[in-house]
Amino acid sequence: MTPARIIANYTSFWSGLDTRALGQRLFEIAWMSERHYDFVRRTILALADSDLDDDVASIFALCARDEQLQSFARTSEGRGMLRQAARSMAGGWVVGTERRQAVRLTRAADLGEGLETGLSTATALLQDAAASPVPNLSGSTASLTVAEQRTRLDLIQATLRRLLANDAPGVAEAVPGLRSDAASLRASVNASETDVSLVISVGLPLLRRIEDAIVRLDQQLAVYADPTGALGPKAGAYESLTRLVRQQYLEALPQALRPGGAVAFNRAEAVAQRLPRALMEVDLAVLGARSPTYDILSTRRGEFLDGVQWTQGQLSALDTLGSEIASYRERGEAPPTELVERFQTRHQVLSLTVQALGYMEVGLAAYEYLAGGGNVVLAGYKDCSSILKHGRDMLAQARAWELDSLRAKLHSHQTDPGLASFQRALPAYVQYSSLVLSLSITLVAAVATAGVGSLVSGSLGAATGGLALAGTAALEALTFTVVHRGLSTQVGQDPSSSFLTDLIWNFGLFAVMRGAGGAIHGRLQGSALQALEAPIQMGANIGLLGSYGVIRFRVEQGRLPSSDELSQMTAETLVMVAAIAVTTRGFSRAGQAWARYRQLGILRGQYGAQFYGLESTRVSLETEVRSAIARGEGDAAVLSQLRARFLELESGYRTLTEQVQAEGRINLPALRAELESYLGQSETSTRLLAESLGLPNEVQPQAGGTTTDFTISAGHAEIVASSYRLQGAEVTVAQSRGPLRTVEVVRDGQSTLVFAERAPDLNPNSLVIDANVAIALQKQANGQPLQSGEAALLARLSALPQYSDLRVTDTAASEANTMLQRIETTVSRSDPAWIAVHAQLEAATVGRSKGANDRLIIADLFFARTTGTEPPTFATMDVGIINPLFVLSGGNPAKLGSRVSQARPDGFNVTLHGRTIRVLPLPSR
Amino acid sequence: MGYRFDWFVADLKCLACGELTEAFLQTSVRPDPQLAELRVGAHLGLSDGPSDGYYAIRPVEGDAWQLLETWDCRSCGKRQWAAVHVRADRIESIECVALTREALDHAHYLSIEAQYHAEPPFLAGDELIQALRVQLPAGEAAEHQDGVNDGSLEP
Repeated sequence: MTPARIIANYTSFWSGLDTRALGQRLFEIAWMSERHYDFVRRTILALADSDLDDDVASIFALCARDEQLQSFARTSEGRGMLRQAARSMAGGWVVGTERRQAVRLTRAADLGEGLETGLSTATALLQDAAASPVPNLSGSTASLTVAEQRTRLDLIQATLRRLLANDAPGVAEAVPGLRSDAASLRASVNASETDVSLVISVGLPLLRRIEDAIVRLDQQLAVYADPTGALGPKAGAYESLTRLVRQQYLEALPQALRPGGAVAFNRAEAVAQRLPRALMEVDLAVLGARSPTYDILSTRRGEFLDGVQWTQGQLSALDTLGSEIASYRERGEAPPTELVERFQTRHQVLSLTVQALGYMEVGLAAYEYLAGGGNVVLAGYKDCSSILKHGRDMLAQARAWELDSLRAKLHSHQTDPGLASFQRALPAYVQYSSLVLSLSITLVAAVATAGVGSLVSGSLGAATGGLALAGTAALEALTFTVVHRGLSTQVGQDPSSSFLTDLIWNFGLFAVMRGAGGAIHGRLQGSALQALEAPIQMGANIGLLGSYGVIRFRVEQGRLPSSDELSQMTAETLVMVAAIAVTTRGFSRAGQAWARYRQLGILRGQYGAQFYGLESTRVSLETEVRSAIARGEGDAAVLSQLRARFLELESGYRTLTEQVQAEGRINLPALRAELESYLGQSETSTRLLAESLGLPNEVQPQAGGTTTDFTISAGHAEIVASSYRLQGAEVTVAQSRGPLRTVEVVRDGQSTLVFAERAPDLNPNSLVIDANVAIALQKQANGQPLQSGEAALLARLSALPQYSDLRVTDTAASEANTMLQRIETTVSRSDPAWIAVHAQLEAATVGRSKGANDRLIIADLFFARTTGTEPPTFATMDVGIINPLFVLSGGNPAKLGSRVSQARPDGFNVTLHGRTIRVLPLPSR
Repeated sequence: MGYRFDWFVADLKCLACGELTEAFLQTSVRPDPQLAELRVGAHLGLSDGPSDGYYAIRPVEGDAWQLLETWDCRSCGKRQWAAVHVRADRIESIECVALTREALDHAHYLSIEAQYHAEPPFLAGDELIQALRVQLPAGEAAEHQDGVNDGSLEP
């Protein structure tokens, strides 16, 4: 078939060309297969000479629904066909319908072209990120004690159980391999491998973060897959880019519990970090592919396209600024205030610019709609013109970085009642234009978050140093944007949301989520927790009050600034942290006599009242924000007013911190050292954490390596479980090691919390038994018949009723597979002190030549955590252990005249490197 | 790993007090100890000499060998020595002996516990055996000397 032939087929000698039938047929042919697009194009072109091409093209266009046009526009041939049809309709005598259809086809072709260009650029962006070198954890060391490693493995087990039940594609499949890796790690904990400690300490946050990342990506994908979704044709491009990121995390998952597993994760993070920017590339490419339609719009169109191009360039510049800030932080330096302020200003200006572009897009689309419909009511055009002029002015303010006036202009535009009614009167497809950028507005925030957050080898905890954070931050922001907010919010219809986000981020109001309803709580918590995870200096791409809010929130969560973080803090932040220390209720109660902390005491005495005053203002403002949220995310005017008051409060804080520094009553280096000592007390953090989790203090919660994993003291699993059940959470209690249990808390819309019981400290009634006794006891507990030798051994043990708390070390526990309670040690096996003790036990051949496990057991015992000053007591009948230890105590068994157990029935002390254990030799047979 | 030791069990007459008591000699001779009581006639399941806790004194020829192990008299509490004779992997006999040069020369393996009995203490392996050869009394006569029949070199 040729164009001439089909034209001939629809041409009759008497009536000439049947344009209606041919137009309809051409549409059917095009819809049948994309291979026909070029044929249709050539056919319409061939009609140009007859001047009937516009009629045929018009029928062709009228037959096609919007989604069919979008489908045509996916290929360059399809776009060629649409553009040809549009050109045909725009030529000759143009009637209103033809003009409108020409614009419609042109816009569809523009959209397709923009999507293709955007997707290609965005994919390259992600692929570049995947190919870039990412750091491993080289040089990182983990300082987990053996007991901590075991508890972390319990938490890992709980995570793996959850992953196995996860029906997200590709997740459960990785679990058998991960379980096998976890089993190898558990076996290797005994082997005194520092690498093992590192893998365990990093493995848990890796698993949790990969799990969270996949959940977030799947939430985003579900939105894109929604056929009624507001993203329209962009959804496909978004989905493709999101899947690319998801694949990176899936590839990282099986590596999580292996040495070097962080590399794959960091790569995934690097790719995820670029996702918001990649999505924005799609959006901006779509906007940038706006062909001319009406001559009258050419100036405004030019301004609009200039604005798009400018925004594109400024986003790259924002990236660069973010990297600059990140590099300061990587070097452990605080970025210059000027740099951070410039970054904040640009970030906010760009967010507002994107909103302005959104309005301009609406203005252009609305004009095209009105003009195409032959509208002669001037008011409509006037409204369009007004929107476009406002947009132009806003773009000019953006280029001049006039943040305040830009904000004011945008606000007055958003709150203009005339505009709202005008927008409501527009048909859906024009309103769709307003959605083109609805996501982008918050994507800018995600780009900014990701930019500043590039790979940080900071203080997420020494154990996880070197783990990337930026991708997680970007995904958090994206999920917030895509799932909870962006797609349900049209430009100009819910300005309060951006005000609310602005308030929360800029003034660190993460605590407001505590009093907020479930949905708000869920959506904000992730972002807030992310800020908590990041090193303080990084989390604060915000002003002084923002930093204060982040730090304060962290403190209230029991996450105190680390020594590293304190050393990196600017004087201003340091004073703010000190202010938190002297004005926080939990702190003061946990604190010791202020006399011990001279500088903190002076700060409290001299400036405490002023800090209290500012703090109470902050709390009352926070309460107002919370109420605003409770009333339905707040009213823009109220929030705007609150913002002004927050700025005033920030200025108050700044003045006071400057006064503290200027007056010289406080010695800042000494204050830094005091804070380090003060915050370093574990009781301080435990008390604060218990308060913040709403658990009784006796539970003694401690951070377990992530923001959602905790350890608790043994025997308190039920208390935690009941506490969360009362709050309506779904709670599962599972056995982990021996009698120790883990509690998993699933809360609606929030991350799962896991609590693992820690073994209790040794007390005077504790008796640590050797592997022989542990195995015999387990055999008895299993109901197996005992040989006379085993019975005799247990008889010796039962002669010691004063020891009601029998314990084993991890090594003996794994040998005996016993349910007995373990001991906790104060150091890891990589600690030089532990190594020195162990070396001495080796040299003395404790346990004889095959006694490697016995030496591990006894070395751990030297570092057992105890409640008091009594040394840990160890019971054994093995002369291969007793005699060498007796020698190490300074004696010689051969000189006793009788066996050691007879000569020393109450035992003897052995002191190595300043640490003492008591050995109780069970009488031999 | 599992249990760390078994016991050789036999009725032995203490060389110090002369009492005949059931003696339990802790041993890690077997590679997979079970806290078992190994009496005369018991199979040891060894293919290549003791698994742990013994120094080799001289090579084994044929299927018979003996080791020296300590025990403590239940009556007087004194440290004693015993020779455990093994033939074709079965315990042939367990008898109380004094730790003398002669006993050492007859045995193939010496308990690691002997390290506390030489001067200087805590020698190991060949060094220990050489020191004992020099320091131990010759043989029969030693059995009846107080302070020596417990195996110690102390007066």
